[in-house]
Amino acid sequence: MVMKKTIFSVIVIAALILAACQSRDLFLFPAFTNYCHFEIDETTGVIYEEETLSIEDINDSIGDIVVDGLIESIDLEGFYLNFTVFKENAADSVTVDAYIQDTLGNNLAVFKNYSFNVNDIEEGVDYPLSDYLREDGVLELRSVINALAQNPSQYERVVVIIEGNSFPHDVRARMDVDMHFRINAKVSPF
Amino acid sequence: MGGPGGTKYYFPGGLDINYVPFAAPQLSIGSLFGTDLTVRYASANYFVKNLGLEDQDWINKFRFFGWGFRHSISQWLGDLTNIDIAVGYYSQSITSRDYLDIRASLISLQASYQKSLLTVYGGIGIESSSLQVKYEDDNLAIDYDLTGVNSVRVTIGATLNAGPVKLNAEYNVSEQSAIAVGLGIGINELKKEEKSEEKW
Repeated sequence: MVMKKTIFSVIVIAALILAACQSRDLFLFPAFTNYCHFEIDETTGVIYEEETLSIEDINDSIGDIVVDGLIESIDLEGFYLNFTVFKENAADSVTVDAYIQDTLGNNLAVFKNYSFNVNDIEEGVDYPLSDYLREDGVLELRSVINALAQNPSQYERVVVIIEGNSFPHDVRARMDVDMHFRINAKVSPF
Repeated sequence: MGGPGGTKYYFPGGLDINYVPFAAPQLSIGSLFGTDLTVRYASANYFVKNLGLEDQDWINKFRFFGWGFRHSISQWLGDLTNIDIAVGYYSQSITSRDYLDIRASLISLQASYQKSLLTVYGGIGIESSSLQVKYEDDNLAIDYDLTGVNSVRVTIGATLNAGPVKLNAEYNVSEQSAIAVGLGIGINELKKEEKSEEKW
């Protein structure tokens, strides 16, 4: 009688465990942030700065990811700006656009018409760009990073441009602008 | 999820499962003066050591702990009723260092009626819960608090008393309804069984 009850108990436990076992596809979603640094120092009211994407940093971050698994896709989660305003700055307000240059030399907008009052800027604060983003540039940047994930030497340089105006026009605009973009990878773990 | 301007935000869907089976050893002591005490405990120590995860801060101090007591009030009611009635308090927590702190508690009124091998029971309780998740890496800081809606939980269930083996199933109706299945061995009942077989 006791043996029968023991067997019954084992069967019940085995049934519960088996019911809990299912096969699942598991993905990891590591994220990292990269940025372009622009130094604005203008006295004409016209802002135009060209920088190159830090491909080496992006490749380093991708290299950390591929150790853990196979990258299925890469997307851009979001963009934000950081500012450092120097004491020499006399501009009150600034409006800027940012572009990424494709392989044919076309400038594709990443964001447009971002305006801010310089006196309201706080150093260290992240200013989101979600309302100003443009699909052409965002998807081009995404395409560049996906290509780097497949072949780290795909690009020698990728040009990113920030341009706009400072007000009043005849005073010195002196500030650093960092455009951060957060990258998210979908990874099949090994 | 698609975001503005071609961005895409991932909400990792976890494991895409609707339920999470969870088992933990539980010890109940009683009844003493109509009171029993229940303690349940589990930690990740075994898995951490065997899987070499000692350096993984987020899991190496994972701990599940619960305790509670129940006191019979039907013993004070004399012959007024043949239904067993008890009040109880239960509390449990799931923690892992500073990263995770989940707590839940329940104050309940329970009643049961035994007929032959079957015990039918039910209860009503007031439950509260909270969740705190806090971690940060180079790019991201998460500090998330969640307080559960204090809700009334109604429980109905039955236990089949097959000698020392007890098979139990219950359904809890609440904000998060749950089905629980349990299998237990009553040591006292085992002794009774052995004595019973000796007689034969």
